[in-house]
Amino acid sequence: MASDSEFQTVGESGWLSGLPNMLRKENGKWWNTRLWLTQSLIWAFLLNGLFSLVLYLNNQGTAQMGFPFESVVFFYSLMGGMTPFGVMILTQGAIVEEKKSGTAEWVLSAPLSREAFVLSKLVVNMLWIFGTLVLLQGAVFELVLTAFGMEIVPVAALMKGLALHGFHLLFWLALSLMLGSFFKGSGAVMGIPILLLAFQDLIADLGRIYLPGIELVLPKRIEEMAAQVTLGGPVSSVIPLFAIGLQIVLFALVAFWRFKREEF
Amino acid sequence: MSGHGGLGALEANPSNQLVIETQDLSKSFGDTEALKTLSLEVPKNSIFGFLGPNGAGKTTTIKLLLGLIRPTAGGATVFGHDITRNSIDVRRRVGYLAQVPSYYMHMTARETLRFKARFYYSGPKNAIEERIEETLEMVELDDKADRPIKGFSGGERQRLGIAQAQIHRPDLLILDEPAANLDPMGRRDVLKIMEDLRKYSTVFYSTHILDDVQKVSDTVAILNHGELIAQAPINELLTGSGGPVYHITFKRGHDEAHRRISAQEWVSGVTVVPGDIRTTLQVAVTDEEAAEDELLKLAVCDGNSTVTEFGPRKYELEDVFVQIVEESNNGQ
Repeated sequence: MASDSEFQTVGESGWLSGLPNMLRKENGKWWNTRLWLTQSLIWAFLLNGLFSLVLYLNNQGTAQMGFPFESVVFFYSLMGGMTPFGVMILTQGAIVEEKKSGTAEWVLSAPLSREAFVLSKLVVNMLWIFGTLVLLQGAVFELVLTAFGMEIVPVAALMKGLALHGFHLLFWLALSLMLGSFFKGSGAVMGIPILLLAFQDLIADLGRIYLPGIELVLPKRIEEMAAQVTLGGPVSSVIPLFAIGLQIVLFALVAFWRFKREEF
Repeated sequence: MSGHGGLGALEANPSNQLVIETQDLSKSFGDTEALKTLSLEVPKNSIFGFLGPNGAGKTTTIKLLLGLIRPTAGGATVFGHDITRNSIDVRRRVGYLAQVPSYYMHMTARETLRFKARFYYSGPKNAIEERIEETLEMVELDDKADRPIKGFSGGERQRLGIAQAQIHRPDLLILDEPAANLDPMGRRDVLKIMEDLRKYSTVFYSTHILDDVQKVSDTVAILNHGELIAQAPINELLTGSGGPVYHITFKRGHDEAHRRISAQEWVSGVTVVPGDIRTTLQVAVTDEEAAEDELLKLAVCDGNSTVTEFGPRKYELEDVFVQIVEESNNGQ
């Protein structure tokens, strides 16, 4: 029989309590259930499949797509329009479902801090989303260009663009987790980001009239910058980067604050 | 209930024999007072039954102790740790089984126990795996250890719940209705496991199955409408509160015996309970020693009486529970 003296007890304390174990568990949710594989395939089909179809039509003379401008801009417009929905779908239940099913109550009866609970979801989802929805799709994008006999995008420029796109998705991830810490159902957690995504252009237009400068703090600006950087252009302004970064930090802090007050 | 020296005194005294101590612990949800100024003491190494009708505040109390909800007023300590300020220290030493246990359905039973164990132990790996194996055997899930939980029956999930609650051999086990959804065999198994766990843990469990409480508990507390209405060792509770009473059942000849017994100084009252065939005398006494030495002799000394049963009157927990709860309801 394993006696207690044989064991090494965990060393974390305070807000770090239980974090390594939760990180492992969240990672297992992606790895052990092959979520990484299904997401990789789904997004390869949706993004690069569609991109390939347009290139194919282009070769047939029924579409006009050149390199680098049109193909890069088109690819980023696909990513910017679709992958935020992926983030919302993947993370809408991350906190809400655990509250509803009782698993949050269960794990929080162990020595796990509430900050660690939220942080594990933020970190692991961010890494896997970046891996499967961004990095892998960028690699496949290069393969598609090669397959169609087109010049590939310089890797360094593509990496910079993808990093910006990942940063853009982190905004939606943090927003989704923050909303999950407030609401009991998935409706609002999905609905509010969808509305924001859908009405970004309208908000930007109204902002030009009533609140100049607001377009600089909307996540779509990051997406536009990602395409520019991939094409070898400079970062046109750091204001959107700071603004989105600040919002991400704010969403995360609000999620920690709200989840700490949650009663199970 | 015995008094206590306040939570500060408990925190300062590590040798304290109380595992849980609450002082005026209260919780409201909006306008509803779920728990009203609960002051409770749970002694070390006891199997403490926490009883009450549905909605009495049992689960609220348990969730407060685990830091899952925050008190509206009052406070509590578990092993001397404040439940609000040092909740993680409390949870390091506690194992918990919820009323409706929930797990990650993509995990197997073994993975669930491994996940839970890693909140407490970082290694060595083989010792952790050995503990998991022992625990699975203890709850008889070793043959299903590598199957996903989503295929488990209610009883299997409950046994897994007990396994995960005590994977780290906690000093205190808190079980919320551990046998509520089980068939008689499942209940028997759970009670046996609870008795086995007593070797190294204090067990604090809520239930409304009074038969189970009478079988395994040594101390009980009864909660009603968020208020503690009784707390006592179970034997004390079952003896009743009106002083010792003995019962003598006669097949014949109870009249003469009644007269002889009533004449004794140490007898404070005799009640006759007639039956179809037999008659019982309930004898309230002031001196238990005299009663045990003399009562039976007085009953049969004339040679005309036949006694079929004799002994101290014991109450069923259900009788006591109903009586106490009804008194509490009438008093409100």
